[in-house]
Amino acid sequence: MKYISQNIAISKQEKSIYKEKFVPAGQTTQLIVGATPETDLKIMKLSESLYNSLDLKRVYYSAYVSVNNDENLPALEAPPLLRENRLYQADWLLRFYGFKIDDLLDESHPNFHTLLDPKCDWALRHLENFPVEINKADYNTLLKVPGIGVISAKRIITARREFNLNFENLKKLGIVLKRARYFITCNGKYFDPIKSFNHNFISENLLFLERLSTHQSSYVQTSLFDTLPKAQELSYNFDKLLPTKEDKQKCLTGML
Amino acid sequence: MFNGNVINKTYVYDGTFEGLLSMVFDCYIKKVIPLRIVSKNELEINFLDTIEEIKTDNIKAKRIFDGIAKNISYDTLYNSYYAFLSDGNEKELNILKYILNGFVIGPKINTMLSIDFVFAVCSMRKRLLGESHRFKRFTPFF
Repeated sequence: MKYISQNIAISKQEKSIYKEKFVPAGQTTQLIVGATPETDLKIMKLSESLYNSLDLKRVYYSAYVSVNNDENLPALEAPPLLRENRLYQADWLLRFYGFKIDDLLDESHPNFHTLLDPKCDWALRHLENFPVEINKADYNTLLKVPGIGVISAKRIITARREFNLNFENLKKLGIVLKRARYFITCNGKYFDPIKSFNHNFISENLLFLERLSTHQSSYVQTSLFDTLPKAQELSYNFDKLLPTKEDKQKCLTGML
Repeated sequence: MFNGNVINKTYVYDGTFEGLLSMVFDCYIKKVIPLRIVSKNELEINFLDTIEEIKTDNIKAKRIFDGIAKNISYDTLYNSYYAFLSDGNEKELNILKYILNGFVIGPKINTMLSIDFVFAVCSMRKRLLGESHRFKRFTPFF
């Protein structure tokens, strides 16, 4: 890997002399996640150092899928797909958002949050940097707001040159306020329903949203006969509808 | 901003970019903005609308075309042309407002994304270019 990265650097310098680049697509690597007991912190440290020292284009992460059963191989019930997703999210934060892995994770919590994405998690732990004023903050500060990405940040910066932005304008610009609304102010005002800016309030709301979305995602394959009650249920209901002996007695005694 | 009266009329043009530009010219001279704009082949006649047909005049269109390039910017020209090619909702009215306000405001109009018609035109352009790019990448498979 070192050989390739050195040669890429050399060929960049010699670009004026030779037409063909050495390894024009850059180099990448892949890490298998979940087979060994490493923490997310260790994995991300590795990829950060790869990006910094070897100038890699990308590091891919893939969840370990157990194909064979053997006592030497780790036994996993399901591949850790959520962990893979969180690692990719953190990877993007490293490359495009100017984060360092020491900001996102440390020894006290070495793994990513399962319910919140890494940027949200970071923002909740560093509430002293928030709220961010949309009309004044610079590009790098805007990027650190959860829910605002590269495209949104650039759009905000071009749009606010002429006018002060408010929340309605932000919605029109196509900026998703689902998470961002807890961390921003427009002209010194919070988003309407937000009454207090503190850790508990924000985290409760964010986690509630996450849970709501997980509840709704329990889809069922529909079938033609779904609307008809099943045979067992029918007979059960039928029994209930018919008056029992006790009911008859109650009728006689006037209780029903 | 361009201060024109909104008039209760439906303008009909022949469905070409020149036709749209000559309508921009007419609106600029008369200082009016129509309520609706439809192309000839999409026209559905009803009792409520008063219809006015705009004749395509290549000289007027050329003047507006050159005027945009000179007084606003090439970007505005590209934006409005690509938006015209797209299939956006009320694309003609948005383009009309965009160009008319562009003559008043100048090249700054492209950064005023918080105005809805500017954003509509820009997003129409973006969608069109994305779609054409995807088609171009798709065709090599055949």
